[in-house]
Amino acid sequence: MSQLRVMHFMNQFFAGIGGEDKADNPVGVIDGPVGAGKRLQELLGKSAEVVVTAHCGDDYFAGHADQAIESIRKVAQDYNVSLIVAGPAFSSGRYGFSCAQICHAMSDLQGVVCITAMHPENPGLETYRQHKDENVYAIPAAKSAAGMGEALAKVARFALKIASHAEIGPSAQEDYIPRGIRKEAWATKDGAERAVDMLLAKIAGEPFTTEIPLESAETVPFAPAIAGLAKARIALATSSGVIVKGNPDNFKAHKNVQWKKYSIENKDTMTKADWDVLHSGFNNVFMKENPNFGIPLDASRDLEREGLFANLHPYFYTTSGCNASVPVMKRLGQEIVADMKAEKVDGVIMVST
Amino acid sequence: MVAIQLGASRVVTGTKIPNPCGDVNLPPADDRELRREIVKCALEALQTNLNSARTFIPKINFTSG
Repeated sequence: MSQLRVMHFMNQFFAGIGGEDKADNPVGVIDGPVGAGKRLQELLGKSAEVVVTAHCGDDYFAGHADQAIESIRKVAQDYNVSLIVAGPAFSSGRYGFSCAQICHAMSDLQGVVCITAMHPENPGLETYRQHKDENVYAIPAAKSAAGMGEALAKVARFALKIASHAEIGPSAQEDYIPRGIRKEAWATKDGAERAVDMLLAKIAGEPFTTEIPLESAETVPFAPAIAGLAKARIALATSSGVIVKGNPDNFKAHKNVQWKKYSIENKDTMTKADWDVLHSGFNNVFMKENPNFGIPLDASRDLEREGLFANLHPYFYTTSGCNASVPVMKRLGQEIVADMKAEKVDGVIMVST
Repeated sequence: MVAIQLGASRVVTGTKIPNPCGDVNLPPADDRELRREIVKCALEALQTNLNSARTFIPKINFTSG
């Protein structure tokens, strides 16, 4: 059995570079295993060697994904690795995102298999499920680094299976998170018989395994109603791409990756002199003429004056939501909500197009 | 419909995609009144408890075209 050459990717924290203060650190390279990578090496034994550790600050990756990926790709090529282990990222969103992005980006390298590990609720898994790369596997891990030992054991077990060239079965039989890839397989009964068997099992209340799981959009719990609207602070938000005139923040009309909040303090209406619209998914002409179509400030001020709610939040939140990737938009949504919560916003009116 | 399918829980029907909160065919005062009804409907939605996702329809005339 030939020895697998492994690159281990970690964020700045797990690589021992530093905490949040070092989150802006660009990609760095260390020969051999570092930190948890040393334990990984022990578990891998002689079948695989962690020849290099690449690390990157969480914030650096979030802001410079393309450059970071390019640097890490070069490390993988220079060290001639055939296995990439990213993480474990546990429930850290930024770290999970970078691990999943790196695995996806390296998946086109010839003969390379990528393994990452994170908690099944880590938002990074959106990227993993979206790309469905044949040679990328995410191993379920605990929420926090308290589960490091267990996660490394699972990763090592999986890596050794890869090293042995054994066939990797479907996720139902192996210890990885489903990617949504369907493969052909031989069955002893035809489809009609299997469907009737499943139906009978379902009626009898017995367990059965569907062959075509429905892709379910993530279910979002309903926010409770606002009891005292008269005391509530209401914020306006939009994905229609209402932006400051002249686009000083460089929004993109499609595949946009950012959000901003803009002040509407002491303003009673949205005018075309102050605001612009940038969204390539609909005809912007009308909203450019009257940006109240996207941020209904004039009407909201009327209702604020009438006392239907206590006050309008002095900023509106905006992004341009055309052709955007789901993981990116999810991150933007989480960041916007965090800001709203910090600003004590009670309710949001979100205009989409 | 799309909003409900994507998991939004309180959905208010707007007028049209290029001008969800307004109607370019109306004179400015009527357009503002229509927008007021849409925002008012959204405020009502915020005060309503839900067991399942729901579409709220503002008291406006939906013009065609």
